[in-house]
Amino acid sequence: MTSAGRAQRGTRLWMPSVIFLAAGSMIPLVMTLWFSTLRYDLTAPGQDGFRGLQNYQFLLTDPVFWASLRVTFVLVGAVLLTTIGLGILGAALFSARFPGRSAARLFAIAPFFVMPTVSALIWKDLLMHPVYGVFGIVARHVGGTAVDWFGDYPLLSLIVILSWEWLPFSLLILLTAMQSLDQEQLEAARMDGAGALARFVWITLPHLRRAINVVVMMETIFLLAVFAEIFVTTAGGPGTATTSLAFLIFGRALLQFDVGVAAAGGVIAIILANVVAALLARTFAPQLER
Amino acid sequence: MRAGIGSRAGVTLAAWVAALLMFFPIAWTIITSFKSEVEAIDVRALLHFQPTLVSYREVLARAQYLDYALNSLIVSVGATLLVAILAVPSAYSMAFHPARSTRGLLLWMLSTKMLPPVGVLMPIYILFRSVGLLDTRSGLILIDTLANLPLAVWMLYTFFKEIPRDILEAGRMDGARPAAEIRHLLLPLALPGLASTCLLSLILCWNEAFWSLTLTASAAAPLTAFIASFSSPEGLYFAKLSAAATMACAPILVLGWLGQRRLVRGLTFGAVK
Amino acid sequence: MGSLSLRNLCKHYGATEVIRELSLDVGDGEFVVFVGPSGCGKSTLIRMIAGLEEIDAGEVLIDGERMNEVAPADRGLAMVFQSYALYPHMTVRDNMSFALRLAGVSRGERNRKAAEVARLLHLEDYLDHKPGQLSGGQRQRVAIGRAIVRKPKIFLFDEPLSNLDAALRGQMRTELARLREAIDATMIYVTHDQVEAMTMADRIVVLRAGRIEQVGTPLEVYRHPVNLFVAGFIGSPPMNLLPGRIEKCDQTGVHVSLPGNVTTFVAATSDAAQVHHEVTLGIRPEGLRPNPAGMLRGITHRVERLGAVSLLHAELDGGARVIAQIGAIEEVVPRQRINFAMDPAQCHVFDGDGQALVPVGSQSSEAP
Repeated sequence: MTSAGRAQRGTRLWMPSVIFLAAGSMIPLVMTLWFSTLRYDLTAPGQDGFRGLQNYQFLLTDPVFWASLRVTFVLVGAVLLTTIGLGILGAALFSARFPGRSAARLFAIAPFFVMPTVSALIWKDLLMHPVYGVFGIVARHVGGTAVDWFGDYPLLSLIVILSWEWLPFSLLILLTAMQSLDQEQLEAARMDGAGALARFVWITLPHLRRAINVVVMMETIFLLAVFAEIFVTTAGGPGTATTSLAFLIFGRALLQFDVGVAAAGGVIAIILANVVAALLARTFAPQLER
Repeated sequence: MRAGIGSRAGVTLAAWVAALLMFFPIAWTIITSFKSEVEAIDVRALLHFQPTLVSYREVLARAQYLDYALNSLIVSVGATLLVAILAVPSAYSMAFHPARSTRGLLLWMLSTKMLPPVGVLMPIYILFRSVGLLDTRSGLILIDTLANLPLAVWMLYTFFKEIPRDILEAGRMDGARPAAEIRHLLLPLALPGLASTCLLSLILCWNEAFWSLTLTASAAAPLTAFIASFSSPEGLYFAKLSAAATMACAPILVLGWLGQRRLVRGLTFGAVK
Repeated sequence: MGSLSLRNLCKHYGATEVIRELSLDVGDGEFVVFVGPSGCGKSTLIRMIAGLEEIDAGEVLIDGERMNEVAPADRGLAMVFQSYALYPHMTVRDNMSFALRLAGVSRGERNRKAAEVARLLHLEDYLDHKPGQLSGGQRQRVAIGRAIVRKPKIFLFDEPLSNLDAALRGQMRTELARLREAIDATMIYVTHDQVEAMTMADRIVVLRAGRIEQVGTPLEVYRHPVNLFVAGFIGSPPMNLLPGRIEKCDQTGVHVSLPGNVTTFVAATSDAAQVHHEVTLGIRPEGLRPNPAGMLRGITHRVERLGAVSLLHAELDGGARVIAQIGAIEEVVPRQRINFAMDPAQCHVFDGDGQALVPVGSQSSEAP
């Protein structure tokens, strides 16, 4: 068979995946759009009807909705800053050769492989618990008082947990990128008289830019959808202090069974994710193109 | 950074402190899992205690840990198999028979991953309810496959592209028809990449915590949901939580540690190698 | 039994034509070298012969049979790739016997044949090694062995030596020559290195931009280049090229004037040559000799001593830079006036289009 013949046979092989993905994403998407225009309550069937954009109006005039947006952005922003800042430092640290480096690296990235529900509960109950948690015990031991993390600083506590979960991801990627930096570039800079800090700022950081972009984009996508940690620790509370957009929609959907509003919220979440992704892509894509 | 001994010691110290700090919550969980409930909340028994397996036994016996573990296992392995079956032909045709549409298709696949799950929570829930997939392992397998397929295709695509074209051409000159080419050349050379992809899929499925919490109740609930039940517990539970957490996370921790270098590529859709 | 015919081959990538109406005949048992600068299409050409690239127009015939639609493995060819393309997960033995395995040959027979070829290439000690454990030269020999095992009618070599260092390359050239004697087959060899071409070929095919510039034996191509490109490409150091003008021409030859008020007579002509035409005079370094009575005057720049000979770089009055080949120990002082004499029998004249004027009294060398 000539190469043209082979090409023809080969191109159709991706169809099953594409059809599966297309169906699996398009159909629910269309349904969400449709539901968002309905009055549809699973607990009170028989009162369905077309509502147009009323569900959206309902949401957008609800202060809880805006609070959830704020919570979401604060969460995402804080975790991004923390993980990338510490990730760069960690990558710089771990790219140096020191005894036991492989083992230390394993310890440092372990949190990434822990289930979100486990992470959240470990922190809430074993570490941050004001009475039985290790932090509290140590604090009292040295004469201070235990901090009631989830009581007084629920959002901060969540940020800590999420940062702990995602720092390994950022570290792994930034470290991989850092180790791909040509050593000779650094040596040439050294010959030119650049000290350690100057080399870091002028050579290493620019080299990391692409990896940082990747980390930002991937973390943003996943953090916008954060759910399990909130579900398991604060259930959105106290009040709405830790209700992210995802959790809000979940509440409307599976606690209040208000399909219409939940779908509207879902559409807003999708639009939000796409806008953010587009913004990030536009800012960072020129460097991502390969 | 070729600095002097002093700075080397500083780096070593800083790195190890950072590493141990990161690991501390996990270490603490493992330690607590070997205590009894009473010891777990006793300040004096913080580090001085007699290791015991009583909490493990309780979790295994009374909390039906194994049922949940089985669900996690079946869902993870099932979804990974389905992902592999779908992704391998796709990545193969995209890597070796690229068309004009190939790049667009790959980017489109990436875009489906950006869909926040919560955005389609409602339709999926209602759909599953009407076809009886709620609280079933098959339902979870379907959803997890949908979620991980783009990642797998991308990852395999980058691995396939790395196989030098002239090795395959040499095979063709030697007389290898497409089937022989795949069997003798492609698969052996792509096997490490395939293994990494399956590993990543396993890890992501095992740790998946949105759909497993929303779409399951009791029958198909995997370990993620089981652990979540500790959030509103009755009575003392810290040691049991620790034991359950340790058992639930240990396998993935080990697998992740083994494969961590190769996972970076998949996690970043091949953007960083 | 191994003859190759290319008839009007064409190939394009998008809007670019990479092979244009190329025709060539290669006889059974010949060692033909395709040589040319990067991008001339030589690799594409050999891949079209192999069946790894589509043919847009024209035909490839092996022993008279059309091969355009035939799969690579069925054409009776074997190819040695530039990167060797060894199967990294198989041992040397398995690498060399893979083709036999695909053809269903028994394991015993396969191993016997692989051992035989290994002996021929001095690879017996490495049969159980994997490519990753071998040096560059050894890997190359395995690639050759893999081709030999198939007993093809025609061997194709795609720049096989370009990944080796200079010393190894020389060694391998000798090896390949030895191999040629042991194996009686047609060989098509692609290289950008004209030294390889000159030393190994029965015939050289000089390619540029998808077209054949000249086909001939190495000496023919060296002594009688049909155009400026071939003249400048073959021969190292390259031919000296001086701008000139025809002052007088008749059937015995042309009188060419050069910058610096020099006129010389060259016994070559063409139908199109006329007085006052701009031409280029070419003379190889060995045809230019320092001579106090010589016509060409200039200033010495520097000498490169190669051991057996030396190369004198000079600039002639009128601006042309030339290289002359001189004896190993001849004394030359830089920045000195010097005179050169040219051997008229070694002069070439190229007209305004770059075509060589034909030496009077001889037949033109083969040009398509």
